[in-house]
Amino acid sequence: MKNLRDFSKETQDTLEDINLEDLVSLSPYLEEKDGFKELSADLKDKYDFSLDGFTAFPFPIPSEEEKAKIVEKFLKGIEKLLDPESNWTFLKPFSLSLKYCVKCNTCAEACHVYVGSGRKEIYRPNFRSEILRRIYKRYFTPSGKLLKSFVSADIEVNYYTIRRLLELAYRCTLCRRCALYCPIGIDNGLIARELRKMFSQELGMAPVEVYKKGSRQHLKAGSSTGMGPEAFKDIIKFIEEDIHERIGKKISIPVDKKGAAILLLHNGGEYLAWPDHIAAFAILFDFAGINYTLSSETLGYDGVNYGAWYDDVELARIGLRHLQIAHDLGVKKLVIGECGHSHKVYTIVFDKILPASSPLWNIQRESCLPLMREIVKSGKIKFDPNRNNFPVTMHDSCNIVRLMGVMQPQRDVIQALTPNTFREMNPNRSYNYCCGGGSGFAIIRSLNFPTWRIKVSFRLKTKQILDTFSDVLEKDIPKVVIATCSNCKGALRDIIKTYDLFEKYKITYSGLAEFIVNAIADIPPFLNLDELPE
Amino acid sequence: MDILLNLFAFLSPLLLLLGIGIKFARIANQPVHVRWEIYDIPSAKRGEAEHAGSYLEEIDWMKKEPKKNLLVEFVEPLKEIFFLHRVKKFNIYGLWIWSLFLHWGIWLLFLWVFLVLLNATLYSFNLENLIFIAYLSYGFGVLGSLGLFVKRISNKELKLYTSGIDYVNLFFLFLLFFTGLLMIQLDDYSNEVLSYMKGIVSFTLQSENFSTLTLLHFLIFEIFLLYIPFSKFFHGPVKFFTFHKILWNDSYQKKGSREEKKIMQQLNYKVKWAAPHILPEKSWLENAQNTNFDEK
Ligand code: SF4
Ligand code: SF4
Repeated sequence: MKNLRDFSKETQDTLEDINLEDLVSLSPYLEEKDGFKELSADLKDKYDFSLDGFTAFPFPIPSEEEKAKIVEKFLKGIEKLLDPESNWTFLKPFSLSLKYCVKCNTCAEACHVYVGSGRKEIYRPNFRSEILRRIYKRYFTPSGKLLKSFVSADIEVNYYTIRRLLELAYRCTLCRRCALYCPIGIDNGLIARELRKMFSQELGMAPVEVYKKGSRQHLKAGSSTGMGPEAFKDIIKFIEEDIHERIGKKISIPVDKKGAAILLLHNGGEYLAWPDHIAAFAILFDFAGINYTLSSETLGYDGVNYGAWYDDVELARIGLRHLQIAHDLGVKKLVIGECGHSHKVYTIVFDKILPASSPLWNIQRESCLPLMREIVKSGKIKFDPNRNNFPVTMHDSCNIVRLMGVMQPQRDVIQALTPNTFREMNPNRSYNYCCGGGSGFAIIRSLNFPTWRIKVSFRLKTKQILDTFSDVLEKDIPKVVIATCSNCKGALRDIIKTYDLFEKYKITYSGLAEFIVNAIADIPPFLNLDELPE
Repeated sequence: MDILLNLFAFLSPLLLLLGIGIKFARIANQPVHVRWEIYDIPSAKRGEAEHAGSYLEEIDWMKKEPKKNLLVEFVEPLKEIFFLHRVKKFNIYGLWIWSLFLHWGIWLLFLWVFLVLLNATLYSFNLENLIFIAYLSYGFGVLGSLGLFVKRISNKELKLYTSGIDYVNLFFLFLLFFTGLLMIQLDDYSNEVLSYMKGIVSFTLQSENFSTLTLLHFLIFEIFLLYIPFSKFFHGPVKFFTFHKILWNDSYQKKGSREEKKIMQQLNYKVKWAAPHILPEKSWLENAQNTNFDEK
């Protein structure tokens, strides 16, 4: 790209082309022959691919009149992002990040998308921020209006600018690794989220999977999976039977139990995609004698909160409902299951969404990981670490490590339950790379976005997993990647399936709960390393 | 003319402080934002551990007062201020050394000006003994500003993000340091700078008593001071907010605090967004309590 002004060029031509040869190489582990599929003329006519040849939005191309309205709304949206009443939630961090970047580009190398793509300019963490910054300057500051390109207030807003920016807001997983690199404390991940928020809250534009089939469905049906309370109860029965069959012991999973100390909030996707995970928690908590319950209230059994990725209003609606359910059950604590964004929403974000005197604020909101560590260390359950005698690594969820600082409990658990077979990925903990499925990417399936996700967004994580196991790649050695987040697990599943890592190298994945239960000495092994989960 | 010279010289540092003060107050008075920290947070560091987990790693964290090591929180930024360690570690464009020169040029310039002021007011000593500070400051500053200018104009990636005003800023800094460097070549430079400083504090500056170079250098310096709060140069002071108040602020809300009161007020702000799922003209609280299934 010669000039950032190209971003507004009024054409359907792509701004940047993504080619397999440019991407970070996965050799010597994998030989990729598949390039990217050519788009059909029909698709090209119908949808907009003008950023990078991919789109997550099945939005038809609007009429000229509609385009003019979109431009008008977009500019109003930017104004509202900077308005203290409309955007009290993030005004301070957003406005500082918008105004004080010194364009040193120290943040660039932090980004798994930018690096993984072979350093395509449009994916640079600061690129999207700079486009927004220049628009802001041009339309909202006196110096920009007066001095234009001299102060880089040179991006013109037209429909194409907006359409590309919408797409670009969904080329960042909001992992915020770049914020860790920035010497000024600028948060490009936040800027991407603010853009998404403005698109959603002002223009009503968000991926179908996170809005219509996501938070809307969650609020209406009770789960973003569409699972209603009755279906939830049926699944619980099925899981109880399955547990009985597998371990020869009947375990009753408490649902709506009055007097329970803890409401355990799982990611709703687990019930359908990985019921073993729910079963593992049930076994673990039962063996440890934890006084907990699940909830069958609408929303009470699905702890996701997609608002975290794109919309403050939806975030508040879902969060409030979850806390209300916990309050009505009379529990003291809301314990968040293995779901990264849910961890962050309830422990960090909700700290300052409600006043501290409100009864809802006073429900203790905690990660499940310290509790799991306590269970493992308590001696209440007899564990046999040799059950986990295979190379195991852990993928850190950005939300849990970098965004809330929970790094050690999960490591203590894994180390206690393996005969020294744990190996760290590099980098790890707060410097980890995002799995590539964060911020909704793992569930967005529209048009050709999944191809972009797999080829570009998952890329560095794929390489990192293979690097971590490079000395034990033999097919007869099972290897497990543990993730403490449902979204990350979804990404790992897709990585392993797409690149045949199970067939080629016997690499599989697991949640932490399943891994712990696998080591319980009194019951048969829980993990099946000869098959890929789901 | 001399009155203006006096006024400008006298007011520029005051206006700098006032400008920073007003900007700080404005930022501080923005609404309480939701927590948005990023780990590792220096104040959570315990001992030599490379990584610092948060108090959220503990069960019942709400019942315990988190242990904070505030000293580390204020020592950590020094690594950035004096060594630009993130730039050194992560920047791949070779900006670190030039940026380091420029920043040290500025720190030493402030030190030099402070020493001259001290000498001119409270404590007199032989300034010539400390001239190496001025040499280092002006030398580093010239190298740094030139180096960054060349880097930004010659590297195609950096160039993409650099605008006219950025080059002007660098050129302006170059002028500041270059005129300083020339000024200290004057035979009588130490008398000149001392009398200039004395002139400022006693409001008796007379341009005819100084060489053009000295006048020019001080004038540029004064403009520089004035320019700081209103330009990209404010990226230094703003780190107090970006780091201490945002990225490193893991304090949870306290009952009865001023912050809590502000949050209560903010929940009553009107939500002015226009998308179909928003209830227009209702407050944040009302919007959060109502799921609005009747969206258009
Ligand atoms: S966000 Fe930070 S690291 Fe990136 S260009 Fe801006 S100031 Fe530099
Ligand atoms: S938040 Fe993560 S994905 Fe987004 S720009 Fe920064 S490093 Fe890249």
